[in-house]
Amino acid sequence: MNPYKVLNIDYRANNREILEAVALAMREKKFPIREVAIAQKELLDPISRVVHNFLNFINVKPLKEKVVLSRLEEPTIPQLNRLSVFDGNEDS
Amino acid sequence: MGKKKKALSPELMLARAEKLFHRGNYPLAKKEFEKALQGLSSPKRRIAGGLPGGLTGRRVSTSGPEANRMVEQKDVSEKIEICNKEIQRLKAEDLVKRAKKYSRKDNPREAIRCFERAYGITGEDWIRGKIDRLREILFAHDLRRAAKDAEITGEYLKAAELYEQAFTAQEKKDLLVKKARCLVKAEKYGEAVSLLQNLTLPGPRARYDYGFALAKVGKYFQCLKIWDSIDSQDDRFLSQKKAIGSLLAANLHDRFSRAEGFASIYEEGKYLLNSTGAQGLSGVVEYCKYAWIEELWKEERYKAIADLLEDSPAEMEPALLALHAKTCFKLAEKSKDSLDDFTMFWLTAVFSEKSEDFSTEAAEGDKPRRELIQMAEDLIKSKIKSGDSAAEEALIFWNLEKKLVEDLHELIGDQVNFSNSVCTPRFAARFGKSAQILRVVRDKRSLFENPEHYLATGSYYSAAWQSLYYLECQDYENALISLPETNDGNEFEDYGVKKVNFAYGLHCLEKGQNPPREYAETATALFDMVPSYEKQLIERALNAHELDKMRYYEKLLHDIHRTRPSKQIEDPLSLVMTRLAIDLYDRRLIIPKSLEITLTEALSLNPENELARNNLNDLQLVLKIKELDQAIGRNKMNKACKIAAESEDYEVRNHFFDFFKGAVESLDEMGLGYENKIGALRDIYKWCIRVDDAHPILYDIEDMLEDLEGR
Repeated sequence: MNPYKVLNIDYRANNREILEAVALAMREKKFPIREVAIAQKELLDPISRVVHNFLNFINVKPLKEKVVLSRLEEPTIPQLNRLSVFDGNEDS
Repeated sequence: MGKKKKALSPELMLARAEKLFHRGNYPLAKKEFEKALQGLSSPKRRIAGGLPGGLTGRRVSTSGPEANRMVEQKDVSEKIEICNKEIQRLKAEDLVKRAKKYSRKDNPREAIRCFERAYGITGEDWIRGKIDRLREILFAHDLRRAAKDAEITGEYLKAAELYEQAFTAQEKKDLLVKKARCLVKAEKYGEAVSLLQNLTLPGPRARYDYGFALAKVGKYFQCLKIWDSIDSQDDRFLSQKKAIGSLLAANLHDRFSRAEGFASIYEEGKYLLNSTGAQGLSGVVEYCKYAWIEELWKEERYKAIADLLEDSPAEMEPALLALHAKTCFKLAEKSKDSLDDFTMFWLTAVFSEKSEDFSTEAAEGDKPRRELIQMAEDLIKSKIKSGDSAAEEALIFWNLEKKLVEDLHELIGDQVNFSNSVCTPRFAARFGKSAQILRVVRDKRSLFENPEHYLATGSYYSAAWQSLYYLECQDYENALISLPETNDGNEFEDYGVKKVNFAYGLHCLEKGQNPPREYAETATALFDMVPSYEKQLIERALNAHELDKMRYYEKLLHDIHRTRPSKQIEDPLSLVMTRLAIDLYDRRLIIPKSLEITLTEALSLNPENELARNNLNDLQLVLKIKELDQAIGRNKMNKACKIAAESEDYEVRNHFFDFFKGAVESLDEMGLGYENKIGALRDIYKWCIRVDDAHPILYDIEDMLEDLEGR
């Protein structure tokens, strides 16, 4: 179970936002009350929150930052004329 | 001068005509009938009177010759009529045949002409239908010809229109391909693309035109893909392809700068990189891959992410490693497969994260790490519960790898100079990190519990790792087969190979089979490295009680003892050989003498072998008594006396005296004479006194002799 999905919150949500999300989830009843309660418990516990952060979110920022983006030379627009080289190859 | 041809009679002519008619030769039959009819109508014939029989063989009344003649003429006329009809039918058939031939030869005009003539004869509806269809084809033919002429003269739009009309008439897809070609020539690229994208393109000419039109409307990627399917080394074509590659690269850079569709930029860029190795594009492609992965993660499309991650570099930084592990975890949660990759990445990733990355103010130490490991373990176990047999093997590897990475992590901790050195053996082998891990293991040798721990840890990261994994699953055959062919001399690989060989041999022994040759040598070498294996072997040998097992264990212990004698091996060898010899003796597979020799040998190896000693004593007593019996039985009394006198066992002497006691008691029953009886008693007395001069039997004999002699 992904508690962030159950409570529909971002991984940066603080405890107050978590509690607000819990109240909303209880009212909306999209998920069973038991699941909402578990989600609340999991996210308010610092260790299990770290675990869920690891499990449910990815961080590709360091990977993107490592990419070396080279500039492309301005391409010379070629004159594109239809070639007759294949005209001998009748299609049917 | 030739003879004048004699005129045939009408009867003969009719007979000939009949013959031809029945053979189906209607044109000739018709001629003959006509001649015959002429003959029948001649005045001469009318005077001469009627024929004896008509065409049908009817008897004609002589009373009405004129009436008969008229009937005959009518019959002949009917026959001529039949011939005429048959001739027309044959003519129509021939015309249809010719029409079909023309049709096959794609000459609709001539085909129509023939069909029309045939229709004129027969008036059949199907011929009319054929004529109508051929007229349509002829129309299309004319259109095609006109289109071709227009194309040749450079009127491409007109040609395209004519091809379209021809297609409407004939519905041949090649006409649309030709139309598209004319559109390309007329520089109507958009229309050409719309038309060609729904067609199966038959040959390079159409594919080139399609690609060309695509390029002209800015669809460079699609153009390259279609052109790559053309097998041509033409310089001008290759040069155009290269130009399209450059245009695509520029287009991708442009879209990237506007952050427009990372997925398509990645796919197109990847294609371009793979096909042309375009310079300066790899960074864009790599960046778009990660940006796309971000999107896919939100959409929970984990399989697609796993596919994208397939070509990851060998040197993985923690973020990439974590991405692999999380993706595999999500896949493992949902599907049956992926457990192998999941277990391989998970432990490596979880231990690659620095402790501080996991820690929060309240979270102490590596509790989150522990929890993540437990979570993964629970996932594997849940799969086992749901009946996934592959998960059982996965759990075996998991437990092994967990211990290994925990050990490595304990040795290294979060030391920066050893970063990325905590990984599972499978990960190390797959991403070429084995040598790096072995360096760490060697470097930290002093921190290992004992030599075995050191060697065992290293061996899983050596070239022998695969075999050792098989060994974990008790798959001894595969473990042996997958041993590295050559040993590069490192101690871990050497240990791994020896361990596998040792386990395989032990497996053979446990099955009651002979272990491989040289087993004693390799096992001994392993004992030198890690003495605990010797204890393991001894324990197994001492627990063997089946005959075959004992036989092979005894032989192995003998061989090991011969190679490297030690007290440690002598004692179990002594016991195993004792047990084996007793078992063989009990099964009457060896003679007592052989048992005695073996027991003596066992005692020489271990004088404290109580089993051998007790059995040897018992055996020797039995043997002495047997020897005594043999001597007495062969009447070798001196020898018998000697055996009894020299034996330290009172049982032997008792046996000796019991025999003579019985002999004395049965003297009366033997029916001996007086003299003989005295002689026998004196002999017995003489033999008994040599063994024990105070034995009570002597007094009995003396009494008996006194009685006899005093009589």
